[in-house]
Amino acid sequence: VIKPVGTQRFWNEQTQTASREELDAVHLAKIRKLVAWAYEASPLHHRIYDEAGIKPSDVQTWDDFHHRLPFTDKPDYMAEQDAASHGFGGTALGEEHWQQYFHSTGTTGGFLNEVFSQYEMQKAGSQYCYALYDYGLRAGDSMYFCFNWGSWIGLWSFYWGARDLGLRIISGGGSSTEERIRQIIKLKPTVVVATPTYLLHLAEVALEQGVDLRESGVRMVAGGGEAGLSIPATRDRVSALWGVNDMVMDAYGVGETLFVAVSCRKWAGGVHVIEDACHSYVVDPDTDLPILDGEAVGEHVITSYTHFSQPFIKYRTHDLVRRIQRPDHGCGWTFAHLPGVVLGRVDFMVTIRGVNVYPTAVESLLGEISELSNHYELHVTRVAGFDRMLVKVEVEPDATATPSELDSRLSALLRENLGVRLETEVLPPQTIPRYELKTTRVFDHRKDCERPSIGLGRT
Amino acid sequence: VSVLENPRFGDFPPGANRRPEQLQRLLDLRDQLLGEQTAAASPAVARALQMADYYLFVALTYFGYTDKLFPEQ
Repeated sequence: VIKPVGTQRFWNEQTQTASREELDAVHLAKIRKLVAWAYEASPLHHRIYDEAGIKPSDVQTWDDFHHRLPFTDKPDYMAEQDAASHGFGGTALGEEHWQQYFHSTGTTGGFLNEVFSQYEMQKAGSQYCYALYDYGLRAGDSMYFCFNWGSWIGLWSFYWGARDLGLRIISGGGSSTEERIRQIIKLKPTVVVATPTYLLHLAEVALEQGVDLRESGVRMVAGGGEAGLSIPATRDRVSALWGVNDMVMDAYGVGETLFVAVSCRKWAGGVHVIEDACHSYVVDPDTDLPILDGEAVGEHVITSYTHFSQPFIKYRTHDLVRRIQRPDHGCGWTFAHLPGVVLGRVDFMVTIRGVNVYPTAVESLLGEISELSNHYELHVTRVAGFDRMLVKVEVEPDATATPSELDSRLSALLRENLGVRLETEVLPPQTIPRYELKTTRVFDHRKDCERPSIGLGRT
Repeated sequence: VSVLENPRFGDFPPGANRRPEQLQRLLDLRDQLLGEQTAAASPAVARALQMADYYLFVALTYFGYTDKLFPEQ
């Protein structure tokens, strides 16, 4: 029996609540077709599979996928990009299908050029609708974008999502922070979208001007590009400054494979992988073996069902995640859940006296000292063969404790919770830069040869 | 070959509706599309069909179709 659309609880119940077994069966069927298609259509995939001595017909089972099919990684695409006259790597569709160009943020060195067809942009937008619908948004609601519509895909795909759901778009592109505050007060959007850092910045600037955004009528905030909105302390602070209670939506994406996960209304500390749009699993970065138990942290590996201009199959994201195969936090979604979202990066992994220290864990602890702000930087160095991490954090403007007292408290808190001592430095307010785009929090000053190395799944 | 370069469409006539039989087929298709929208399995399917209708309606306008002026009318 089909329920009338207006009464349905889920955006797409048929897959969103399907059993793990049903989802995995669909994934395997899609992956087999995708590998066969990419082998014919993409010279990069053809070469990689030939070099590995595998044909598409060899991929019959999950064991074949996990153990025989090679990984792909950003350097594979970069090498082709550098050699191609059109400037794109790993392409599989002709240029007549290419409709929009983006490039990665360069987090891992060098810009990867990305191109998308019309269908891909439409499909990418649909990935947001699962969450937006769950948070109660419907046609007639509006979304305000704190975004200048540049070449980073980031909030572009959020925009496609808003259009896919039928929301009214309000652009804050080209406006200053002060102008955006005035527009939000005047136009009363249902949702404001920005990076977590910028959401905090906007609210802080508003307060300095005597404007309380809790009175603005905004019912929800949403963002991505940084870990913040799934870190309890940061999320609570954003929620408090905007007065939106639990209406805080997080989204996690990988530019190449598009947005891959969004939070549900119950949140439960993380985001659900949109399994209609991609397959995702976790590997041990040292052994490349799959981690399926949901407890251990490993590297996130994605296969995209959205990006065909440049297929990304078994693609190493270098993001460290924990993936719960069968979430049961009461939201009804069966799509896998990533608590804490991106816990760190394989290439930023810091091991101090044998303990892996994740940047998100540090951010979470910073939030426990109310007189410290959410504006921080982590600086990783290697001295005499050992990794070291310096935590720089701004003090809140109204703090009563001295920087020295706060420094001692922070140092003790980090040592008690992480089991190792980190160096700390408490800075005056407004010392650390604010960005509208993805904010850089981790600065890795180690030489290439000092960073952790990962295998590529093939020699 | 992109749609616009497809030689099949090389003799497509310019101007208002000179292909009434194709217009009628598209109108029938639209009736079917709207019926599927009403019975959609999920809001996701309903919205995708609604967006398909917007594109289909653009096709109707290329025939000089005037019975309705826009999809929601």
